Amino acid sequence: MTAPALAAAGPDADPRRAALVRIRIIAREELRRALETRWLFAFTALFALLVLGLSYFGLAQSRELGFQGFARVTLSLMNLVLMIVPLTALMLGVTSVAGSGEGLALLLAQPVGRGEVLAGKYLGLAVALAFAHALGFGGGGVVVALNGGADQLPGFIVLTLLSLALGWVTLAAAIAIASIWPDRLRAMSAALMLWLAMAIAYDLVVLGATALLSGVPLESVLFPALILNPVDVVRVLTTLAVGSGALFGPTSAVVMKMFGTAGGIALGSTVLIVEGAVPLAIAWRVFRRRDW
Amino acid sequence: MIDVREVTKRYGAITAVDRLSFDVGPGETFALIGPNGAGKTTTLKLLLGLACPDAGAMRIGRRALPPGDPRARHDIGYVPQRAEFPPARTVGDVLAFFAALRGLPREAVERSLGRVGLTALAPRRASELSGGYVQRLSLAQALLGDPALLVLDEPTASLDPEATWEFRSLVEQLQREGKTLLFCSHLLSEVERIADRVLILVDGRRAALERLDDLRAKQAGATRLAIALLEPPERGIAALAERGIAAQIAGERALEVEATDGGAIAAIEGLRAAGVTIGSFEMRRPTLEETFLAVVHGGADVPR
Repeated sequence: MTAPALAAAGPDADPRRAALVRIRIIAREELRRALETRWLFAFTALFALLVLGLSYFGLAQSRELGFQGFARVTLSLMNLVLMIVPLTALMLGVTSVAGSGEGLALLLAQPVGRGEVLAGKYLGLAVALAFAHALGFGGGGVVVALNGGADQLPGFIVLTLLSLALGWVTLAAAIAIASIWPDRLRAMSAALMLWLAMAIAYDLVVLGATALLSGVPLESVLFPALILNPVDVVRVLTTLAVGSGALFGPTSAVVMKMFGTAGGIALGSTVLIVEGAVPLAIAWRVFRRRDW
Repeated sequence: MIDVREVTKRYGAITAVDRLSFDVGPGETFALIGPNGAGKTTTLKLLLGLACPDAGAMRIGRRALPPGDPRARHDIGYVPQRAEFPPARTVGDVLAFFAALRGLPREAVERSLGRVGLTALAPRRASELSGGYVQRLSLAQALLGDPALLVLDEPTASLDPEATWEFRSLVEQLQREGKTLLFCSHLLSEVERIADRVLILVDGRRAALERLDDLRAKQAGATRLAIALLEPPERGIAALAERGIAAQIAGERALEVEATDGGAIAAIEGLRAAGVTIGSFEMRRPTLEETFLAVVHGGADVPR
C-alpha cells in the first residue's frame, strides 16, 4: 500500500476515506488468510473437477465417454452447486468470526470501527468466493468449451453468477450467525441447521404445504415459498436460464409466469440482494453491540 | 490518561465490575491485581472498547475520548495475554498489517521491530517463533505508532522465567521512556518491581488502591523479629517489658517483637542483658503476596 493511501487511514485523515481504506486493508487480509488456509484452492479444484467430470462422464451410462457441451453440464452441476456452495460459504463465514478469540479482540482493539471490521471480513471472503468461482467454473468451462463446443454457454455463465450470488447470500447469513453466537461450536451447529433447512428440509416442507393446501391456488403458495429460500430462487432462475422450465413438471406454467419474464428475473435478483442484505444488517447490528 | 468513574458491567446476573473508579496519570505504571474472576480482564476490555459498560463513564488517551470511539485507540497499544498471529505470515508481514490499519508507513514496522529486538527475525514465520518471541512481536505490534498508553493483559503469564525476564526488561525500558502502562498480572513480584500504583479488585469492586511506596512502607512497618529461645519465653517477656518493649509469646520457646525503629536491636540487647538464652532470631517482613491476600480475604490491613 502506498504512503498516501496509508496516511489516509491515520488519525488525522478524512474519516470516511479512512474508513474505506481500513475496510480495504481488512478485506485484503481476509482474502490472504483464505488463500493461506488453502480452502480456496480445494474449493476451486472441486468446482473445476465437477465441471470437467460432469462434462466428460455425463453420458457414461450410455457407454459414451468424452466432453459434452454445456447443456447437460449446467443442469447436473446446478444440483451439486445448490448443496455445496451454501455449505462452503456458511463454514467459511462462521470460521472467520466465531472462535477467533484473541485474534479478533486484537483487531478490534486497533483504531478501527466495528462496522469496518465486519465489512472488511465480508468483502474479503466475498472476493475469495468470486476467485474460486472464476477459476473453478471459468477454468473448467474453458476446457469444456474447447472440447465440447460453446453451445448453451450463456446458461453455464448464468449458473456461475447465480452460484456466486448464492455464496454471497449464505456468507452473509454465516457472518450473522457468528456474530450472534461467537462460540465456534454453537455457530457451526446453527450454520449446519440453516444449511439442512435451506438445501433439504425446506423443499419437503413446501411440498407438504402444497399438498395440504390443495384448494388454494398454486401460485399463492409457491410464490412466497420460492422467494423465501435463496436456494430455490437460484434453482428456478438457473433452470429457466438454460431453457429447461419444463423440468418443473405441472408447476412449470406457474413458475414461468412468476419468473420467466424480465420482470421475474429482476424480482428474483432483487430477492437475492435482499436475502443477502438482511442478514448483513442483523450482523452489523449485533457485531457492533456485542462484548468481545 | 485514563479516567474511570463509577463503571459497572454486568453479564446477566453476574456483576463483573461494580461501580469501579480510578484514574491513571501520564507516565504512570498502574497494575490491576485480584483473584480469578475479580474483574481484571473485564476492566481491560472496557478500557479497550471491547465491551460496553452498563453504567458509569470512561475517558482514555490524550484526547480523553470514550473507549468505544476508534480514534481513542490511536493512543493505545494492546498486548493480549496470548497473542495469535496467522502462522504462515512473517513477523514483518504481521506488523505491516497492523501498521497499515493505523495509517503508518513501512518505517514504523522497522522501528517497532528494532525496539523489541526482532529486526533479525523479520523474515521468519510467526509459527516458528518461541512463546517469548511471540510476546515480543505482540509488544512490537502494540508499539506501532508510538502510542502514549500501553495496556498489557498478563503479558508474561505463559512465558518461561528467561523469557519473562527479557520481556520485563523491555517493559522497564518503556517505563523509562515515559510511557503510561496499565497491566494486570498474577505475578506479584512483577507488580512489586515495576508498578507505581496497584489497584486490587475483589468481586468486581475496588478493594484497595495503593501506591507501591506506601505498600512498602506498610510492609516495613509490619516487620517483626522472631526469636527462638533455649528456655520458656516468660522471663524474656518480662525483661523486654522492663525496657518498654512489647513482646508476644510465639510458641513454647519463642517470642516476637516489633522490629521497626531499631526495636530489633534493642530487644536482642535487652534479652542478652537479662541473661535470657537466645537460640536464633530472624526478621519477618510480610511479602506483597501476603499483603494482597490480606486485602482479598477482607480488610486492607497488612498481615502481622
